[in-house]
Amino acid sequence: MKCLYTAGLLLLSIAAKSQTVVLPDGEYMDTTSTRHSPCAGAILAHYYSVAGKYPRSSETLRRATQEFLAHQHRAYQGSGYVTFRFIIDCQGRQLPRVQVLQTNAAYQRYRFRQELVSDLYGFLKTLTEWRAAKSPGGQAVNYLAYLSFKITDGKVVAVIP
Amino acid sequence: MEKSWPLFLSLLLAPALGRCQPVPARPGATQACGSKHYQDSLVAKYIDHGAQRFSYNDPRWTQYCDSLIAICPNIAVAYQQKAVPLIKDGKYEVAFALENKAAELEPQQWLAYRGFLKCIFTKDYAGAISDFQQIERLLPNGREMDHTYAFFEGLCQLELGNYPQAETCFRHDVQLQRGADGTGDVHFNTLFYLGVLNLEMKRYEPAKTALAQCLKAYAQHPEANYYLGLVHRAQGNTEAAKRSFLAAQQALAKGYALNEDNIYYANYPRQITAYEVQQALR
Repeated sequence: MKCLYTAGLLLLSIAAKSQTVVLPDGEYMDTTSTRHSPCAGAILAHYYSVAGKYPRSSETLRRATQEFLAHQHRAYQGSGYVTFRFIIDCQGRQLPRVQVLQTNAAYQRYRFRQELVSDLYGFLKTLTEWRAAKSPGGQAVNYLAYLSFKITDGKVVAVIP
Repeated sequence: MEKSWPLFLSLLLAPALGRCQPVPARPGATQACGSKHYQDSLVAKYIDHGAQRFSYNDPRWTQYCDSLIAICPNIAVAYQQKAVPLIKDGKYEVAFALENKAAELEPQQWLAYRGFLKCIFTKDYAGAISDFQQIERLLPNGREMDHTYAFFEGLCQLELGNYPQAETCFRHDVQLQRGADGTGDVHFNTLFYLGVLNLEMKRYEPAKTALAQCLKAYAQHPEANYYLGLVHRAQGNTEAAKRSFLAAQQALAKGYALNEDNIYYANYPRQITAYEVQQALR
């Protein structure tokens, strides 16, 4: 019993780190699936068909990202793009199964250190005002969206789109 | 939103359209790929009457482009067209490999377009400047996406904080739009960014003049109203600032926007939302 207790304490003391999952169609931050969603029957569209860009300017998002990263007290490195692709459901909620794409500044495949990717993903999860989209006929719409972080020497210099 | 409705429809209707599949390559066709006439006939068949019958999100769009690349790998437009849905989806690695190929094969046609994508879509301002400077040497005073090369270079220089260079570019852009007789209209977004540039340089009177000219052409321009508010605020004129912010707020609420074709996909530099105006009004 004492052993179990010690092992439990030991496990709790290890800082949680998110891990990406590599699937045949790409790399994902998580693989959790959603069941019994009220949006299960909704049409799937792209963000640009439903005015689905996040309702903040790119500059506001850039500043917010930098602030969020500053609170992590880590030194980040590298230059390029970290892009998360995901679905916003008909209720404006970001669904799990978030794909992550990474390139260097010349748009070639690259891997940033996992801390930066995880922290950017952490920031992404703070964005809770995605638009709940409907078709002009009033039908519920889920839409594919993405957010890219342009990084220069470990600093977020732009958020796209 | 009105503009996005046809896009939305096209997405819904795409699967219901014809079931034509790309035609396989004719053996020996590659020998003719050097012929402009042959290339044009293939583009007509595989792009104009092939891929473009479908939404670019339909798998057949890519299939047609791939077929054309398989027949003649030296046709630039096939790579550019294949990249269209990818860039709008944030898939930069694949998209720019294709854009690079298109620009390499036909720089006069696709170099400026790649510069535009870097400027507006990926905020790669240094890369965009390099592309626009290269194309300027090949095709002086050319245009891309409704604007002169100088406009895009000016925009990138502005975003990089290179204000004197930005000013030179915007002046050149204005000169080109005015034309030889000096009577041509200047695009309201040239005037808008000139206003922003002057604000950044703390030259408030020229900033107000440029933004007022922009608003004369397009009174509901949300960003021009908002930035005019910032100029007023910088000058300590809080009442005038509030009026401008309220005008920006009303314009956004009525659906007015910066009015560029690609704002549905990517934010233009300095583009705002209702949130920023709300913050300014607090």
